Amino acid sequence: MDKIFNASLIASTVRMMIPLVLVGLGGAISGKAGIINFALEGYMLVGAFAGAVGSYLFGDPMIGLLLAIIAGALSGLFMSVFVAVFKGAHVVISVGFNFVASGLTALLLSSMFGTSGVSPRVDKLTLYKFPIIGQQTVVFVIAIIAVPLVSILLWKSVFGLRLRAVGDNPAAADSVGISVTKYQIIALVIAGILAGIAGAELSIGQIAYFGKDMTGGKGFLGVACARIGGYNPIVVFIMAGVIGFLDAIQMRLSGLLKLPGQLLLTIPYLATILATLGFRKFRAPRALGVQYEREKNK
Amino acid sequence: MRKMNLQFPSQLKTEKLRGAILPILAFAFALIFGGIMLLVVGVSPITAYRIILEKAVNDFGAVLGRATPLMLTALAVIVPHKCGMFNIGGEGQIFVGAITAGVAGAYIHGLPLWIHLPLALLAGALGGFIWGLIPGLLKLHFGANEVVITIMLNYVAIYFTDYLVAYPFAAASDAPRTPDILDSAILPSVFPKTQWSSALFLAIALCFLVKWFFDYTTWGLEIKCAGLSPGTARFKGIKIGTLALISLALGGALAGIGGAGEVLGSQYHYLQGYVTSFGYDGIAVACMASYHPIGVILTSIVIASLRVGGIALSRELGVSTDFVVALQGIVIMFLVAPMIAEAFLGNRFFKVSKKGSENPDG
Repeated sequence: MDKIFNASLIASTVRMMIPLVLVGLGGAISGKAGIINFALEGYMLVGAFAGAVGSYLFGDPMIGLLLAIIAGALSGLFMSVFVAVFKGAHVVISVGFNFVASGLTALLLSSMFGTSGVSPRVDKLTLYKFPIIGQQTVVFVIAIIAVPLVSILLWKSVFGLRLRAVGDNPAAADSVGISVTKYQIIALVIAGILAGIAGAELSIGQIAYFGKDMTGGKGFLGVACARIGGYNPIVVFIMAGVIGFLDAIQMRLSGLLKLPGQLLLTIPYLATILATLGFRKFRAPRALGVQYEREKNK
Repeated sequence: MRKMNLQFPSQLKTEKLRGAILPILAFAFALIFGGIMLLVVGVSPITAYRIILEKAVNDFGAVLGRATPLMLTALAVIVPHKCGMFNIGGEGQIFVGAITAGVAGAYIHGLPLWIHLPLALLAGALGGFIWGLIPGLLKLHFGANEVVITIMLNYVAIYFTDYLVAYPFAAASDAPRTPDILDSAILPSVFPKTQWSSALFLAIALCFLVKWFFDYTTWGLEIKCAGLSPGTARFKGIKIGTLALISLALGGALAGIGGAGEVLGSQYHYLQGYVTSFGYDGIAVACMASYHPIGVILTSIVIASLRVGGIALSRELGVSTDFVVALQGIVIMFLVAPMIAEAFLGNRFFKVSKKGSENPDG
């Protein structure tokens, strides 16, 4: 048992959960604005690519992180044109965006580096030594700060109040002069920034290159954390911790138990399904997924 | 003021025309958008599109072969969509269907063709059926959202089938695959030495069967009713939850047959990752067909042309084969936000009715 439960398990749990926390927060903000956002997977992929490219071109992973933030924000902005301005169906738009993200990063990967699989190695973000949780990148700090920050933004600010109004009752919000479109665009841009950072953590935080479709469902896991956590940042954080822990332990078990790795890889996904069934007491925003158009909806 | 939403015959006609013209517009928009992306990476869009088109025309057999499973994974999206659900699980369902068909084709001995082949096809359908049944059951009994569950099940299916070809059903081969299927399970080919198999006929037949199912059977009508107007359906005593379950499972079975057709008709074994992206492509095919079961015959050929042409694109210009995935994405995004067409064209021809828009949160 000592081989499984030791200090480095905590470190790898934290490493696994950081991207989920950030994506989950993005999911929470989108959800509170009434948007079902499965495109966070795509934002994350774009962010991961931008991070690797920034680090490659400028030799500085911090510029990579900055580019990932910009790329994530642009992804959110791009999708908001379809979702918030032109009122498309959220889930299908999300799927479409994930296609675009996958195709675009693959295209740029092949034209910039001449490969179709993985980019060359790039510089990684500096690792800092923390007590208990081991070596983590600056993204860890960002994620830890982001949780209370998003909570405050959603519940203690005028912006958050209006955002939640847009998600709960867009017609009422609209009637008092709150622009549903504007708030949804802002929500998606913030979600894009958070997911972009999460993507950078994957490409230049944990490994040192970009691989085609490297997010591999991590974005979806983050969105699921947001849904299961009732779009509440604190609960989302805890859910991300649970999934991150299972992901970390799964990697250890495959080495120790002689169980086929492929079976253990299904653990985080199966756990997410189970969690979806278990946690249902949180109320989702009432107008989640509603394509609100002034004076057109019921 | 709410607009009356009565469907007069003339409106029905524009509705149908809209369903046909909007995809063409979306495709044109995607080509323009893709052209900009190609220009950014320094490739001439005209050259690139010419290569895709030439490859698709010259290699039309390969296009038909590729279109076959896409028709079925598109039907896997359409059937639950009629019940107001969005099935992203086609990917997992085709993986499971392909491997169950491969296993049934290789491990069941001593049966004549006319029993073994249908059995192997049925095994594929059953595999997909079960993989579609799981989200249906979880939705019915726990109120779980089918989108989340099907996405998660896709990853479970991919890793689980990877395990199956690596351990219990591994062939004595370097490649991770199941043993070759027996001759008695091979789908006989009508025109030998073509790249498409008689699974194509099966797929087209199933498209018509799905059309017939929704037009002429009680279940089909009830599923449509549950999707279009849940309130009416409830009032009428239709069990919406059960129908959701049935439509998801039937969709899964169709995707499973798609996997079975690939294994029994053209690959003759299940190779790890061979059916990758077929399920997701099905979503694009279904969207482009405006969720019309006959329309997918045409749109699957369009998407398959892109896929086949994409291979030539990477060979000749060094552009990633996955570039065409971005085109599909744009087509989807454009199609489900039809107000874009309205905004650009300002034509009342494109007025959108709320009919058939997805049920957002289960």
